[in-house]
Amino acid sequence: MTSSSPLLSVRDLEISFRTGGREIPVVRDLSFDLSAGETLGIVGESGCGKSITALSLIGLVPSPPGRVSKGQILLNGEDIVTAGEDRLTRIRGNEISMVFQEPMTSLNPVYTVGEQIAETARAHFGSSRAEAWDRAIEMLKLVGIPSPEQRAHNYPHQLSGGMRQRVMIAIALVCEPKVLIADEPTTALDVTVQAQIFDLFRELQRKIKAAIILITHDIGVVAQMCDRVMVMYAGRKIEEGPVRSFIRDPRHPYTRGLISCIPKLSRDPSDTPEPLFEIPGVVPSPADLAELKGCAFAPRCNRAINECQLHSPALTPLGSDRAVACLRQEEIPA
Amino acid sequence: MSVTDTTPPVAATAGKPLPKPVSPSRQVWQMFRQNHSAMIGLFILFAIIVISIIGPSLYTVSPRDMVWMPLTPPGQSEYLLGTDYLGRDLLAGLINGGRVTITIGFSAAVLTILIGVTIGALAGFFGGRIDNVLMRVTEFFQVLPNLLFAMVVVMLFSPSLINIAIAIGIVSWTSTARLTRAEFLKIREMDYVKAERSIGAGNARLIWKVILPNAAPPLIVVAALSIGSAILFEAGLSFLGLSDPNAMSWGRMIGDNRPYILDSSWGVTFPGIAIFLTVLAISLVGDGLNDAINPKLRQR
Repeated sequence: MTSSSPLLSVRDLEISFRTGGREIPVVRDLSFDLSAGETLGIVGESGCGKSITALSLIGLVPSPPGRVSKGQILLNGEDIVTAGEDRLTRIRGNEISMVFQEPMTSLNPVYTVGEQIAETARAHFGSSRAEAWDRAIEMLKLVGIPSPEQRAHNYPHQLSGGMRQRVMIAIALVCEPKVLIADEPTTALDVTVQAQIFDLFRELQRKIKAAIILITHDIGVVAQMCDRVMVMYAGRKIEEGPVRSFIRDPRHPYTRGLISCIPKLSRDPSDTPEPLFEIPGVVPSPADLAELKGCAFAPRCNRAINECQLHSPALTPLGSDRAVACLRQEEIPA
Repeated sequence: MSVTDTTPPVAATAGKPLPKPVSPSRQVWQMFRQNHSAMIGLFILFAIIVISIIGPSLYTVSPRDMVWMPLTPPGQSEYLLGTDYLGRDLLAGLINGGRVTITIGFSAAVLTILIGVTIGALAGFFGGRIDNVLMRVTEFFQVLPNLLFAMVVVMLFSPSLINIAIAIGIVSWTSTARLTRAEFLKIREMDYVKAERSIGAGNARLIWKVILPNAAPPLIVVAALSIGSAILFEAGLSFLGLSDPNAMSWGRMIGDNRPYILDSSWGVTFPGIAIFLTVLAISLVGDGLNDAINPKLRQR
């Protein structure tokens, strides 16, 4: 973790959903920091709480039934959890922006893409129509859309998925936010387009010095893009550290599992490929977790001991910049 | 994706000529133009509106003056369509009545849409308790018998053109409200609404600038058709004697000549045909709009 005062600081965050008269936490005891210009990857299986964490950062947890039931989200020292709707509206777009998973459906079909970018610029800067339009074209150029002057007049359905995601990024960045949250921004795209989008992210980060939170379940993406990684499992952070140590020396059995799940390419064609590793079982549902005393991963863990079933392991620091939540992390060979 | 993949950004469509952007309204017009019955409707409507606007200055006979023998059949005098029970020129009545009828139809439709869309939008967007209250209010208006309720409103206040338009608007907004609410319920869950919110769009912006334009296609059709039904409604009220005594409308002509229907069928027939043609034209245009807008929706 970096020592300089963080841009975004999440403290003991708990997000709960009310179902059938019970309030069930889906994210628990989550704390992390984000410094300016840094890229943080959040990794985990579907349903581990990544996306809802991201939504909570811009005050968009669907409510009801969901709510942030505990903790603080401090953006430059200001708590987002307790901020009013008016203030949130100003924070969204200006300070924190989000790029969603679905570029195909995340653009308003009745406006041209130029109008959509310009409208956002106008709403935030109060600039004139002509200025906003110039700004829109500038943004389209910045995100690498060819012939932006013409493309600005296109409607979303006239653009490909990759183009639309670029437009989404342009909209998210037009107000130069300090934090950009990208929730699986390339899941719906081709691999080649995915590479382009990530190059774009890196380039934009250099240009406007934004911090990026990248939510993904693709370890390859994390290795390529992130400075730091946070692994979530069943609503908790179970491991955090610099991306290098995360790839080379994962400490939590779940993280190890995730990394072993990546198919390895061999240079020698005569090699018989090893069968691909898989983590047995599925993520327990939040409702089951509420009753679980021990480590949430214990039922799927090949190193679980009796003690793992009894109490949930706390996040323990490991060296200066890492932390792991596993009872047996010291015993596990590097 | 492999860890070392660093393909440089490639312009996916570089070199290819860009498709010429076509705005949605232009596409709708292109579809509409191919629909013959809708174009005929549009032509009739256009003709009626033009006649109503410039007709009175070309055909200067006053619709209020007694100009000939009462109940003269068409073609038997210089007054082409004959005269009514007071000897007033029917053709002059038709030409002058068009303005009033169309104005009432149009303003009642505007009112219908204003009330209906506002209530439906608020109910559909906010949901929960607001939705509950607004929908109960809507249901209250829905269960009242339309004609009776409108009659009461017109009789309570004087039967002026404005009051008649307001009465028609007040009784006919409910279905628009329900339709708007349904559209809002559907569209507010769309990804692009979530995306707009995430970049700082407030509620007002989401309602008016994001959701409403997307809900517009069915509302445009309903708005067009509600002009027709407002005209019919006005005719119905006039037929029952509830018309502005100072304004000549087609409905009023029918109402006035109703007692003499057995002696002079032309007194009610010609205004009836005028109303029929206008409403038919509006319905044809409305259906044409519906057909022109819907394939666009499917395409999205």
